[in-house]
Amino acid sequence: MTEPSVFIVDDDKSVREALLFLMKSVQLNASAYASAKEFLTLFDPDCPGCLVSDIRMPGMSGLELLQELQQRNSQLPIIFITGHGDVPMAVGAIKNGAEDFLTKPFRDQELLDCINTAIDKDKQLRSKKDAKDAIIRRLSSLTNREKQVLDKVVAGKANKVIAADLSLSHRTVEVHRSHVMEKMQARSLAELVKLIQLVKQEQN
Amino acid sequence: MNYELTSHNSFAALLDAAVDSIIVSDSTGIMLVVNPAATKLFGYQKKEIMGKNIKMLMPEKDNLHHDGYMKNYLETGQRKIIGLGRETTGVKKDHSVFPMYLSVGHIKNSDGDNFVGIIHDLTTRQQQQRQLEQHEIEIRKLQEKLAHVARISTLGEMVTGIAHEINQPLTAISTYAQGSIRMLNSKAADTTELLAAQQKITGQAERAAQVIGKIRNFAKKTNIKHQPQNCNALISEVASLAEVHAKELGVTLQLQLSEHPDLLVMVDGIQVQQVALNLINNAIESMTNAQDQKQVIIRTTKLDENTAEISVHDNGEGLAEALEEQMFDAFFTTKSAGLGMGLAICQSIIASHQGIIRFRRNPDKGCTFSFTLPTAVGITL
Ligand SMILES: Nc1ncnc2c1ncn2[C@@H]1O[C@H](COP(=O)(O)OP(=O)(O)O)[C@@H](O)[C@H]1O
Ligand SMILES: [Mg+2]
Repeated sequence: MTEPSVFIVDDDKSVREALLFLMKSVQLNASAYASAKEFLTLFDPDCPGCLVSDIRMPGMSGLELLQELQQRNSQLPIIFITGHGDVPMAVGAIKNGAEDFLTKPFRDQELLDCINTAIDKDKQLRSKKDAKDAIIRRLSSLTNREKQVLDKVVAGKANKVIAADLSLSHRTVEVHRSHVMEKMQARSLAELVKLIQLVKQEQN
Repeated sequence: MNYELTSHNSFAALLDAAVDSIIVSDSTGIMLVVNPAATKLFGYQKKEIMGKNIKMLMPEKDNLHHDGYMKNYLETGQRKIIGLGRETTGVKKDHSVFPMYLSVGHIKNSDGDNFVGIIHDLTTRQQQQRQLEQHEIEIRKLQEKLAHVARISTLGEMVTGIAHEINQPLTAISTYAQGSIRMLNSKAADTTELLAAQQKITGQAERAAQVIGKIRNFAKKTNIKHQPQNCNALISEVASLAEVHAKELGVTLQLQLSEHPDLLVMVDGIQVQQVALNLINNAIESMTNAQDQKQVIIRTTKLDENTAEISVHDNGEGLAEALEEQMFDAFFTTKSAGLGMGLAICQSIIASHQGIIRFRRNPDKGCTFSFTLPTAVGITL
């Protein structure tokens, strides 16, 4: 897995370079971009880490960048760094899903704490997403009949009821059910229900 | 009284009635005739001065030369005052000196040469002039004050942008400094990199100082002084100050400087910058709600030998035609936080530079403000 990285977006070259220097001083991977556009063109959703962005920038603002990433289904955590005047704007950004905000100039420890929290969160989100993706992959390997059986099993119906519902023999339902358990890599009914719930939660 | 003309009744009546003082003297300066207006003006009784030398009515500096003038005139006919008139001063009995207009005529008769002096008192006129001058000085001082207050208020409107402009280098400085401390505390301290960071810190401190310097320069109290100034330099400098406001509102400024790099204008530099800043700020503010590219174009042009022009072009919202006429009125504003003094001050400053400030609607969008300034022809810096 690739190392997490800090993506820095600020139109002010000196602030950008200073942040790169600070990241280097704590051995964090980092890359910097002069605009939201530049970041988006080079953006790789598979790269873990977090984004540290200015709010007020010519062209696309930090808030617009946040919306664009959400539209692209990215969950990359964003920390805004802003001038004092933008505090109300930053509060709005938090409500819209930004991770945190700091006013410039900031204490390094505060920023690094935010960054570490954000990177951890990103890691969790990614492993959750990986797990979910795996379940979805397993789900897609089921036949239609197996899916029907799965739905009923998860709904808590007994094999006998399922057989009647689907006009199948009791034996056939048992075979389907064992295939489902195998394909879904679930060792018990409880585990199967948990897996399905994990996927459903996200879909709602 | 042996002067033959005095026997003439009508002449005596004329002397009595004259508002101006009339004094006749002989060639040595002995006063032969003094009319009532003269005795009243100089504060003497008639008997106190009749037969005395006219020098007693002159300040010392003139009275030293008096005999010389007379002699010189009589010998060479060279005129300093005789036959002409001029402004000079007289001395009253109480030794007070007053301004007067003196014309002297030469009377040749059988007895020899006599001179008639007609004196018009200028005390009142001089007082009025002094008062007028005093008023002008006061008005100029008030204008200076008003312009200064307006500059401060303009900076006040730009305060968010200014704070941001200083906050950026501060952020860079503090980030470099904190990063340096971390690096120094770690085993992996890299001298080259630390040195580079210190250099960046120095550069950023310089950047902040420059912003403050520009503002301090613009905010200071000055005495109006028209002198040759480089037009392009004045405008680029003030544009960099306006950049602060432009950035805050997401507007880009484009400078199109005249191809005459040493176009000199005869102006008060700060006041001209004040005018330019007002117009640029207005242009920036006219685009607050614009969606497309927000751009202000600032141009300097040499119109002819005697005239330079500075123009500010925006693609903002413009102003309703019905309101255009009021734009230059004091306190006219369409902005919620506006003061409405900007254009009024611009107009008075440009008028005091014998320039013209103009407004026109752009064919496509927004408007263009421009003003002319006199060049400093024939003067090199
Ligand atoms: N470039 C411009 N575009 C549109 N309207 C303008 C422009 N410049 C000035 N105005 C109008 O003229 C008014 C007066 O301007 P000014 O005297 O500078 O005062 P203020 O900027 O405080 O309102 C503004 O409120 C605005 O309505
Ligand atoms: Mg204005």
